[in-house]
Amino acid sequence: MGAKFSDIGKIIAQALQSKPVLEEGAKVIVEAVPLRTRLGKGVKEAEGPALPLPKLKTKTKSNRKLLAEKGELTGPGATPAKSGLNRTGDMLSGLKAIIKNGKFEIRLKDKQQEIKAGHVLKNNPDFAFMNISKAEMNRMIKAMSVKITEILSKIKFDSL
Amino acid sequence: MAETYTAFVDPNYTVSERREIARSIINYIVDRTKDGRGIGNKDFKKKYSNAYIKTSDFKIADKSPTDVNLTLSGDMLSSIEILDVSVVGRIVIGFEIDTEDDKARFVREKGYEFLGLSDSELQDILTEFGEPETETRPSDISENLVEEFVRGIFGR
Repeated sequence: MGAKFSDIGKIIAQALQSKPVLEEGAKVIVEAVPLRTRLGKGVKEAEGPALPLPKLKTKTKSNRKLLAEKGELTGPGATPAKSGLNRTGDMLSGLKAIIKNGKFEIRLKDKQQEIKAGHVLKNNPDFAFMNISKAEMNRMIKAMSVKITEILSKIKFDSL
Repeated sequence: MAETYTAFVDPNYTVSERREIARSIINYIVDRTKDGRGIGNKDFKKKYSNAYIKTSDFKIADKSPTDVNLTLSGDMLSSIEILDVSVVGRIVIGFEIDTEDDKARFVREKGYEFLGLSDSELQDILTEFGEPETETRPSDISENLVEEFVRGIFGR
């Protein structure tokens, strides 16, 4: 016996908590957050807009210029003047997703990176970057919906 | 003035049908743009400008100079929203976020017409969707329908 079409809402809600679907959503966010941050944008509130990160101070730019000359400004695409939390690239490169209890959480690679992020935010909370923007949420929903549709295509709905 | 696209459809479609059609339109526009084509499936320019290619953003996003698809972070295309389906026979899509709306206006002024459909593209979408007030058969589970359910669960 197949599933009832009228149960589709419940089936979708259950599928939304399944590992394969959460993995698709997490993949979008794990890729989007570092790219968006390196491009110079942060997100202050969950599902808010992605807005430019604070400009770097003159002293910081000078320090970064010296680092660049020594070959130590190694973040992907990093330039001395660009604000992107991207000096070495370490903090953003190891973003990971923890999938547990029907949800996923995005975390930095390890404790050292969490401490680094903590210092950045303590100095200036406007450098918030771990929230998901509205556009990123849309992409996540799209990816999860594609996966759920694939799952549903294997279910036989034989009654309304 | 905000960047929007208005589609006129059969007035017999219900609000929820117009919403699903709107979702189809958005997904079609996003996929077509990412394939490097604009309204009427016309190809975008073959190559980004040299000035743009030399920017740090272009390098950070690891883009190809000849893959013209209006996608750097993906935020602009992901920000196309259903703006209004409340009026019978009319669907409006566009941007709610000012920064993405500004971006869309900028690319349009540069000659990239992406936010919209030709008459034949709209007709193809409506043909695939079906006639108004069609009784939903158990097999009619489209990705757009699923996406509307998922958005509802996320409160969007």
